[in-house]
Amino acid sequence: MKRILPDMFSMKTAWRDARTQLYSLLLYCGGIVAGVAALVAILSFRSDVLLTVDDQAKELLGADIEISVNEPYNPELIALIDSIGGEQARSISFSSMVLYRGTQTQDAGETRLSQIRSIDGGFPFYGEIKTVPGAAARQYQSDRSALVDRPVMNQLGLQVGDSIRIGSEWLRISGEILEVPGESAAFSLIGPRVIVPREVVEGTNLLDRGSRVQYITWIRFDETSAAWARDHGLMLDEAGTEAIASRIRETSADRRISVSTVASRKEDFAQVVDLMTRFLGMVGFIALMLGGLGVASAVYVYIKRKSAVVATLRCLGASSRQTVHIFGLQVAGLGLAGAIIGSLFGLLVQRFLPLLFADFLPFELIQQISVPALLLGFLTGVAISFALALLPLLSITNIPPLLTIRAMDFSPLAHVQKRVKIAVGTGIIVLLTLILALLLDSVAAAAIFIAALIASILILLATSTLLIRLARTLRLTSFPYVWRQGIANMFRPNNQTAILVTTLGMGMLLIGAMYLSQEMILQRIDLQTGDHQPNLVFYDIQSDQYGQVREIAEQGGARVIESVPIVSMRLSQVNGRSIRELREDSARVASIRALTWEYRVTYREELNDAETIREGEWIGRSEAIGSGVTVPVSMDYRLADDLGVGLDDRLTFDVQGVPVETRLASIREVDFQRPQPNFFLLFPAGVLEPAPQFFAMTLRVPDSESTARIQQEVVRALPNVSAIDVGLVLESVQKFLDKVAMAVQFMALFSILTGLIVLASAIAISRFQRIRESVLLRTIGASRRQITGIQFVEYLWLGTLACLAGLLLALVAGWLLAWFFFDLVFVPNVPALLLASLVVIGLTLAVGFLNFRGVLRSKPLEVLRAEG
Amino acid sequence: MLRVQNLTKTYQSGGRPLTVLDNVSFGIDPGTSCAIIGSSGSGKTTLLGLAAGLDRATSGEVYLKKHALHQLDEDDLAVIRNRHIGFIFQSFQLIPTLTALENVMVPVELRGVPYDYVSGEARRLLSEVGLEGRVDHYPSQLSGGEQQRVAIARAFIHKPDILFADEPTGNLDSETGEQIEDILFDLNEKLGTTLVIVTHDPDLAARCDRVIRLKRGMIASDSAAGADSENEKVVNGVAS
Repeated sequence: MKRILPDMFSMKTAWRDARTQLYSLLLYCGGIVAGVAALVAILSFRSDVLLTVDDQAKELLGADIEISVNEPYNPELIALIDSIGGEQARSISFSSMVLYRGTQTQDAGETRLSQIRSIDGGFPFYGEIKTVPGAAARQYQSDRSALVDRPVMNQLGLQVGDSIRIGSEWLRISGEILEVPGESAAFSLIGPRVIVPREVVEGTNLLDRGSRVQYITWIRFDETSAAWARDHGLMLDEAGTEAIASRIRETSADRRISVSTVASRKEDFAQVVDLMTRFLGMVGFIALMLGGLGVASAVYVYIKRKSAVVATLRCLGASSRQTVHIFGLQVAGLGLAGAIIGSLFGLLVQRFLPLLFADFLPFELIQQISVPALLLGFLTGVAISFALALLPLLSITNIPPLLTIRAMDFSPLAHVQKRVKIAVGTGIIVLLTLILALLLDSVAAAAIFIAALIASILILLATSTLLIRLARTLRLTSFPYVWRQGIANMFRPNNQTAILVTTLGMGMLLIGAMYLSQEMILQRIDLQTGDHQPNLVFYDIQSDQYGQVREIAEQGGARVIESVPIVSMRLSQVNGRSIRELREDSARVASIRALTWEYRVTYREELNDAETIREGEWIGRSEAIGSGVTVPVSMDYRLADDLGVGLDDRLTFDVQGVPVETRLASIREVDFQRPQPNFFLLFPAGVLEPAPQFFAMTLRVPDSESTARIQQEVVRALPNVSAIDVGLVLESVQKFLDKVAMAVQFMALFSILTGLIVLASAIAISRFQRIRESVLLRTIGASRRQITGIQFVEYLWLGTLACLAGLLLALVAGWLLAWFFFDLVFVPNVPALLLASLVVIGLTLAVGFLNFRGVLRSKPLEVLRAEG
Repeated sequence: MLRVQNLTKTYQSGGRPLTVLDNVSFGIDPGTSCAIIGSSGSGKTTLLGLAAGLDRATSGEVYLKKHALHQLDEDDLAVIRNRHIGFIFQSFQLIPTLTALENVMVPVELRGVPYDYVSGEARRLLSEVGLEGRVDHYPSQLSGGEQQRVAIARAFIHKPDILFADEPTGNLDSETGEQIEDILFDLNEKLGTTLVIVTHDPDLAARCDRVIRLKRGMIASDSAAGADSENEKVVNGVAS
């Protein structure tokens, strides 16, 4: 033990040697500051969110229990809810077209597909719906008005006092919705939220005709609930509430009731937060890894420069252990200092992270210092910086005392035994995997990520090395001396050009890859909305409304591309077994969702362009229901997998009360990315024609004004018909992706920051060399302008090579994604990528010149004396 | 004190073996001074490195006060160096981040002796070499001659049995070099250390009790300093 710990001489010498170069040493450790800051910030943010969720769990749900069914409640459920008692509120939620009209304008208003919640009762029981004005949330039910989402009000230039029409009902807008318990602002990107009194909807015909409706009941437990629970041997704690939830679910034979409790909502939310923060944590981890590499590189150069000192100490009698201890203490000190500074910086960033995620959080965050988060980030920083510097440290034992009398260019690392390198390398990988496993809560995920990260770093390092070698071969004989010297400077002895290009390049790779992915997602959607594709879709069109909708559309200048009949049905049996039986079978293969779904099915004789048969045979026509024939149907392979069924399996459907026996005659593959109505389940013609049905109609409209006009006319005439303006959807998707992208880009910036700090540290390491070069050049007649120019060229090349390396790989990754995943022709947005590159190059130049300031001020004589 | 037997050192150079030292043998008595001279490439620095335990011979043996240096590992050699050997280098080899005082104290502090016990002796030595007012200065603040004086103080602080000096005045002007030589021999006489100096300076060599001349890796002559040519020992058939 005594020999493992450093002795007094080692500790004293470590301090004495370090004290005159503390600033430089601090800069060497700066590489891990950004990474530790990113980790601490994200881990602390996660802790804040989970703390807030815990603290405000009831506000997330707004009640103690929430019951949601997409059909009117059965008598058993109603009876149970009544007996539970407590304070109750109810809601009917559905999507519908809403006409928004300002009172100040003369125009007819604009329609939007909106999320309608018609509420009666005191919901939310915990928390509040925040509106402007504040009183509107308490008064809208009594004064029979509407609350409307703020974004759509801003978008359409509406104010409180303007009107909306739902169905045939006009309502005054009495308030702007700012917050709804349990919902983030990003929710409104799906469609603007409108809250109205329940009586408004009950009086309309909006619910009559094939609408997708959710019937929700909220309950806040009180004394009557407590009494009921006691009578049934339950308590109103978490376990008791879950037991009540189970009883509620059992009232449906097919268990199609969704029940949420505070605990389950907390768990759902926590899972989402976990996923999000783990992903961002990984991005922060990348910055830390790169910072560790930067520190390792700095330590390698530092040790090499200290070779003479080590040799002298060995001559004087220091053991190899003592010399390792001396510089090991310094490196450990570096790691500690970097981790401390990084942690403090991370706490600062934690204050600002909520701004980035404001739209995704359904509450105001409680922020506090999380000691576990701080410790984990801090210790990770220390561990990684020390682990990656271990090999250069161990190489000290190879420095021979002979260096004192024999001048030679000795590279300690080159003399480390291969087995030592392998052992240390393996140890580092294991350590990194364990640390990441702690962060991700999964060893397998950590192992895969580490493997992918190491592969990326190696590929980036190889790309950087290749580019550097290419740069080195450039003769540029026709260029001025300043350019040639600037390029040559990148290859001065003990340069860290490859590491610099790698760390800066990784930041560019992350940002570039993410940006290209985002572009491709949008491009994919855009591609589907080309000139021959539909840009307006009407659905929920009843049979008797079909003709009218078509007439309005065609008169408005639209071309009807497709009209599709849709029949609603539910699965009642699979191979003779009921849904209830299947749900209770713990060995079942089928998912609950697939078993309890309300299927929207169409029928036709031919397959369309989006469908290909994988197995079996498509039979386009069959006998009518009641003829005793088992109807041959076709299913998409994903649904077949979900249900655990194969060819010739029998499925019984309940079509509005009529049982229909079917046989799975074929399995298809459907391209759901096509902007046309596509269906998981397809019936042949001749069977469902008499069944209650509605229609979807896809249209191509020449311009946005016609789209708005046709929408408004249809909604005015037929309020139950809904419309999807594909252009608006694309806009919403873009906004959503932008918000997600901003969060990821913010974390990726930590990698860029790491690269810049490593650059500053590398410049500091080579400071004396630069001073010497500058002095020599001035001695032989170079002007300050020329010397500055040489530095400019050097940093320009560094930044350019880094951007090139990172973007090259990002483009390769983008091409692979486009070819194999998105099925697109890859056309990157060059101006945007160039702009990002210019920013990184600019930052590289700024950091370079900031650190070069003092070099030009050095007096030649000082340098020459130090030389001698 | 020091006995070298059949010492040979061979390097690989351009795929071919290069014999830098060829079957060298000699012994040095305690308390004497010995100069190893020769032209550039004669093998004198190599011989010094092997004799001081800084390098390993291809074959042969080195004994320092009965310690078989050729059988010891690096850490054991370090212990021997700390206990028995002092060094003075051509390029001074002071630790740039330590003050003059701290540089001098290193050999004794390595043995675990506390600062307070050793600093007094270190100051006394620095005073003896004329640097009493420069104890807190860093090497970069000292001239070449001053740095070498610090190195001399460091070499003697732990009272070594033998001191190896590699071209101690090689980087100094003649006047400063003479001063350094005086200090070196003065201290050596006071402390009775065995002195081995590698040099190409004949005047410095003449101050030693004995001169070993190397030529092409072999001992060309081995004589008392100032002895006339008839008394020179011819070694290995090579006359100087």
